Amino acid sequence: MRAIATAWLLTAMGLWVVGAVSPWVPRGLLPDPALLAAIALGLHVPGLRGLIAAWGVGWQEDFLSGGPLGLFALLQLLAWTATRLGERQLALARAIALVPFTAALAIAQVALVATLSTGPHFDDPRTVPVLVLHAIANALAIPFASRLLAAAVGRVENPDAGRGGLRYDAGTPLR
Amino acid sequence: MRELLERLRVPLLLVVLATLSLVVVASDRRAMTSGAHEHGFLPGVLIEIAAPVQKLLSLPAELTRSGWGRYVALRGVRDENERLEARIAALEEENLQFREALVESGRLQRIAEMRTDFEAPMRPAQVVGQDVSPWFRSVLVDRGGSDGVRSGMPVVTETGVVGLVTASSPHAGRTMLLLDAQSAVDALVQRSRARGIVRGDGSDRLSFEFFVRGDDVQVGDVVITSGFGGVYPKGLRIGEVAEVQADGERLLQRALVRPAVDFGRLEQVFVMLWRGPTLDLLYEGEGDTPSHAEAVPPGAPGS
Repeated sequence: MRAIATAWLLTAMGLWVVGAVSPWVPRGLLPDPALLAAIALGLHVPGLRGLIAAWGVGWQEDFLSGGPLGLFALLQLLAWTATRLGERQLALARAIALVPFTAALAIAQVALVATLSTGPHFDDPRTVPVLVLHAIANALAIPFASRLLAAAVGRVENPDAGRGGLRYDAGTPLR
Repeated sequence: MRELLERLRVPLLLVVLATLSLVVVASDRRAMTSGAHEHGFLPGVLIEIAAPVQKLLSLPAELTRSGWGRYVALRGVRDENERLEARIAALEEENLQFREALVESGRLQRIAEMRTDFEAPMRPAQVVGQDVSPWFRSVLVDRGGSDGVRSGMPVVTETGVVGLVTASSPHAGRTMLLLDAQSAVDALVQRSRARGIVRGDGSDRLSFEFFVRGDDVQVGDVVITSGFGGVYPKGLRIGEVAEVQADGERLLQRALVRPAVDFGRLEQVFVMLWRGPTLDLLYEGEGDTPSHAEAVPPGAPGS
């Protein structure tokens, strides 16, 4: 439960930052915090918790976007599933595999947005540069996002993990 | 059996959640096109919650802007200079306020003219949030059903068309901008009366698709709403032609239009409490909305 709450909190902060700086940054240059969170969850939070966390992350994006409701929930669910499926086959723990995987997933997501709603038009030549920038921005941000989520989830699930050296062992009591 | 269920619980839940999301997407899209969107409980609740949250989203930007302004204004202030600087700052502030009042009165004047032209009451509204997704262009405004704002009402500023209200809750409304890929407006070139469709594509420019008849469309031409689509009243300014993409072989040609409204600096907008005949049919059944026939007398623009 703590892992889910942490992932949601981090995504909310990411969306907050992206929303705040978006008026000054050209479109496409900012990564999608919800996609990054879904991929990071796929890498570090398996099972039911990861699935529910990714779905909730998508709903957060739906909540702040003008697209059809449930669209981003579905997309982040699929992103989490793709990451889980690709984790072993593609060795996504390594950045060299994770970066192109994220770029591909960002492009696939936009294609799905265009299919499920009337999102970006691929026949417009101006869409492609924005899409490429968006994929690169996500790909560059994913190693950082993955490490951040892993550290945050690890900390809330095992609060003593980082303090091993300070533990005091009194040994066996004397009789 | 129990072991099998245990093993299958993640795939099962995945299927359930994906199906649920797809059903919500489909029903939301259907509601949007059938006009039932603003009666939906879920969209209403989400917009109602999203409005204050998005207001919070824009807070850091506002604070940075004002913080930076203060830092610059106060830099280098010492003793005597401090008093003089403060005096200058006060005068500048006063000056700014006068200028703002002048701008505001100019704006109000133009809005008052628009109101007279279109015979439709205008409700001022503040933009409280921007879309976080790079693929949709919408804003949240702080006026909703309790102020008479309903889906299908045009949103304008004193410089031109902003977009259309697509969903509303009691205290907030989501406005799809002209720039959104789903937006399409029937338009004309003011000078030559060449008619076409202005579409958004998610970028900061609009595309104007028109049929070729000589050189009907030139750079610098003003593009206005035609009123034919039955969505916007006739004569609202959309923008100015920035580039004509001539292709001799095609009958349908394209021009790029620079929007009249600066979408990057949207602060105050006006919702026209008016709904065109097309959308009035679509949203039939909402008794308290001034319909096209009630709001615009025969012969008035847009009729």
